[in-house]
Amino acid sequence: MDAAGLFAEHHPPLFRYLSRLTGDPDVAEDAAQEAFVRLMERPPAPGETRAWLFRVGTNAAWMALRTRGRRKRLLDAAPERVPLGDAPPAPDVQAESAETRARVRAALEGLSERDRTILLMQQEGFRYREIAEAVGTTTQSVGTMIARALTKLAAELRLDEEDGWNPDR
Amino acid sequence: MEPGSLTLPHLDDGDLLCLLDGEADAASHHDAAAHLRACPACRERMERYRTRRDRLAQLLARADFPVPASAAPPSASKDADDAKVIPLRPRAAPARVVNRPWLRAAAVVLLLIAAAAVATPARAWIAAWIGRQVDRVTHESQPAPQRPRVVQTPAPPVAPQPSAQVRFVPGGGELRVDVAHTQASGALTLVRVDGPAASAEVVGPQSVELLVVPSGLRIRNTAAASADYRVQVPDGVRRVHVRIGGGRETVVDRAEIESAGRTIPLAPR
Repeated sequence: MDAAGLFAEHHPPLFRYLSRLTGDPDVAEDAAQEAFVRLMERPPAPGETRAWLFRVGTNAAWMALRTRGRRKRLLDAAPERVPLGDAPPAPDVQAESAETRARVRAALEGLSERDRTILLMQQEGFRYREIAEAVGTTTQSVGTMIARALTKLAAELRLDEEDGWNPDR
Repeated sequence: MEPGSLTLPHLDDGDLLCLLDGEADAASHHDAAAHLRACPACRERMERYRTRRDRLAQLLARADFPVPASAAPPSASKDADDAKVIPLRPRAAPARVVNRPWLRAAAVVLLLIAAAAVATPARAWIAAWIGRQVDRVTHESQPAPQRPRVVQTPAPPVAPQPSAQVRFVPGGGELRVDVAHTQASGALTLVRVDGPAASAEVVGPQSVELLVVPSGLRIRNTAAASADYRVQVPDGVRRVHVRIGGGRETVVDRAEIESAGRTIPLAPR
């Protein structure tokens, strides 16, 4: 298996998708690495690598977010246990896109885990069959779920308004 | 609306998304397309979904985090990674380098043999470098100043090669192909390919550059060119946007490419 070639081909889109899914580049990178480790341990059938990586990465990301959520709740309950030396905000957070990022993030957080996964996999160009396998639903229901998620985001992000959706205008 | 279509129920949202993403099977695609032709309300709803999808794609791209520059493939075994020992004490001083001229000379001979197998342009440089090393070794181990001569053969001039073929993975479900000029003749053909990677090639002996850019592909041709171009569009791309000579954009849906490929003439009409 050409690990370096597979990594070069699949890592950038996988990281992009996972960071959109989680809103956290660290969690996204960890989940992407986890997916590649498992790929080398138990490679899927040829031709299924991309969908397989995204499916495993998605599961790893959700698991990491849930663990992080539990830890945060524990720390919130006992603030004296908050570790020293929290990571400073990343420089790109302070960049111009921070406002757009926060707005998009808030809108995505308003979707259920499943709807967010389906919508973001559609944005990556996956077939409905592959999306259905990733979230455990039927191929026929994927279109309806994407429509529902798009409609919800359209309201949050003002996608139907000619001048309202684009923050650069 | 045509009289015969008045009795047909409107398309539901799932049907519209299936059509939009090229996911409808042949039978339902035919029925839905017939309904769309007759029903302005459903056409408008479908266009609204298309707009929402495209605007969301733009917003997501603008809010993306950069891919970490340090990202590297993980090692083959996770256990091996886990077992890696991270020293907490300062490392010991590095071992003293043993200076044995005969050992260095043997290494240089091996390098000379390897250099002989290297391609011509690199050979001259490597031979020159090795020559300098040989000089140093012979000076250190033998006082007799018999300098080995290394004849440097100049590298032959290399003609600039046009990128006749490129391969890349498009970001997201849209691919943009930007052709710099209309041509004297020739055409751009889009064909479907399995897998995530797109590729493009120049068909014909033309010096045309193919450039991979963030939005997709740029074909740097001239108005006098007459080459054909073949772009293989991967599974994940839903639509291809083709712009020729800065003119109007042609949008090609996945369904059109899937059936028999799509050829777009590059000569002005």
